[in-house]
Amino acid sequence: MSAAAAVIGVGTTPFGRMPAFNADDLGGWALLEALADAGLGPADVDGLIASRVSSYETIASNLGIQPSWAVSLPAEGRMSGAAVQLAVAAIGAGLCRRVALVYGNDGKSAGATYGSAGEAYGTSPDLTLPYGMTSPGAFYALMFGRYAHLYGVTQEQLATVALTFRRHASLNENAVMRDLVSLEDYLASRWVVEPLHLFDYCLINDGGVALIISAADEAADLVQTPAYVHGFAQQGQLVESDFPPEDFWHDAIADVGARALAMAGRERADVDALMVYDNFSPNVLFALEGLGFCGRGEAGDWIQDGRIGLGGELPVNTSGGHLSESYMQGWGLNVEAVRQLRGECGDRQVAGAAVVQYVCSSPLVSSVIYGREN
Amino acid sequence: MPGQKARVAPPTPGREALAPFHEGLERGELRVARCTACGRLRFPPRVVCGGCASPEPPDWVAVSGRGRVWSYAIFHKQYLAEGPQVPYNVAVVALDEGPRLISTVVSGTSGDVEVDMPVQAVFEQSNGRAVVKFRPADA
Repeated sequence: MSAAAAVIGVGTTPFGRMPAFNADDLGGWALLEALADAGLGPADVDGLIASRVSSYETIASNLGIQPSWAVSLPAEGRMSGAAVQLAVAAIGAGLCRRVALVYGNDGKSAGATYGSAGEAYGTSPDLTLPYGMTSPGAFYALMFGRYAHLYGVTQEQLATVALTFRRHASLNENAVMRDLVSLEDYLASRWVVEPLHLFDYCLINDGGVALIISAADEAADLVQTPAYVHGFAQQGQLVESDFPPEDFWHDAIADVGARALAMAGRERADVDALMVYDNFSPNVLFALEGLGFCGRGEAGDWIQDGRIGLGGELPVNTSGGHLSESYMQGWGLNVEAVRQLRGECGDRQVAGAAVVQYVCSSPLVSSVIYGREN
Repeated sequence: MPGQKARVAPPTPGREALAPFHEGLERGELRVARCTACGRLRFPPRVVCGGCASPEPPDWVAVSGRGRVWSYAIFHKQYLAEGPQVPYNVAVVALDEGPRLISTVVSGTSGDVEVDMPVQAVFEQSNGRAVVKFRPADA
């Protein structure tokens, strides 16, 4: 089935600590980059999706966009895949023809820790804060603690995620963390919430990301090689979401992966590179198992021997991901998928990448399949 | 109540929903919500039963306080100014009756906690309110 929409422009700001800029500045900057990339101006955009900036209104008024359809999404990273899906749906419904998706994050300069009393995770802080439970990282530490107990996965095996993504980041000049990390460095690094080390955690940094998605029928006439949005799916795991899921979201990820591939008319084996929402490294294991690249409890073994590295069977997070490139909450990974399909990735290019999948395992599981051909 | 003729009873306001739980803790009793339609236990209480979808407000029942450590983690970063000081453990405890809780295992050291370890509820005061923690129990 041919895709209804395509990404025709992408933009990213520098990443790091940029205290002069707030989230609106960063999101707006990224959108200017994306428009320039697409060879378009603000007046060429008639749809707007804004996330983690103060509002769609600020972005639109700053950039001079007068959209026929606009919406703001909350700041959670699980919304990035949902936003791509929403943009395509809005185009399909005839609400607009070209949607700007804008994300800005000033978490580093704003001092976000993701674990202070005001940032409590889950729906019932009354039941967690008295016990010191806070932060999404602790949620994943609890998941990995049980997962490792059930399947015998070791710290050394988990380390492969962080070490691989750091090696990818070393080839990405826009990555925040580019120095290689050894297994010894990893094991000697401090615990944040044990059993997770510092290197299992995403970065906290400032930056902005934007994408322009248009109806597919006009995409081929524009300046950039289009990245067609061939398939997507989403599945909530929101009932009992205050507790780690018994199955590490396996069934929801499997369902989402199967639906996204079916919509795209592709097979798992067609996926040339995978972009996984690596807020914390165990999530990569959960995603690989859920998508069926390996069996339950097998990801610790499966990721060894270069399999998820550049040149391996399934390169994962070729930009360095959230662990090493930039914590842009899935948005940056979707842009990396597009850049891989365009062949723009230089030293970290996956040769001949034609199909790239994005997946986010979270209480709102989502996946997007991007392709070069339509 | 203002407004239209109601088809269902008004839900328990969210800010009141946990009051029976906290009252139980003050009395040294661990309570969870029970669906008045199908009897399924649930915690936190929520508006609708996950078993039979009944929106009837639940009643509350005391449970044994026995359970197992579903998983645990040890905080080494001090995120919270108030509250336990690092290093401390946080555990997900699966009660024998089914529902899960976030709590802490009190034992000699954090290293004594294990996944699937049987535990028993103990009640303490913390910052002027009762809390439920768990101690290792015999299998």
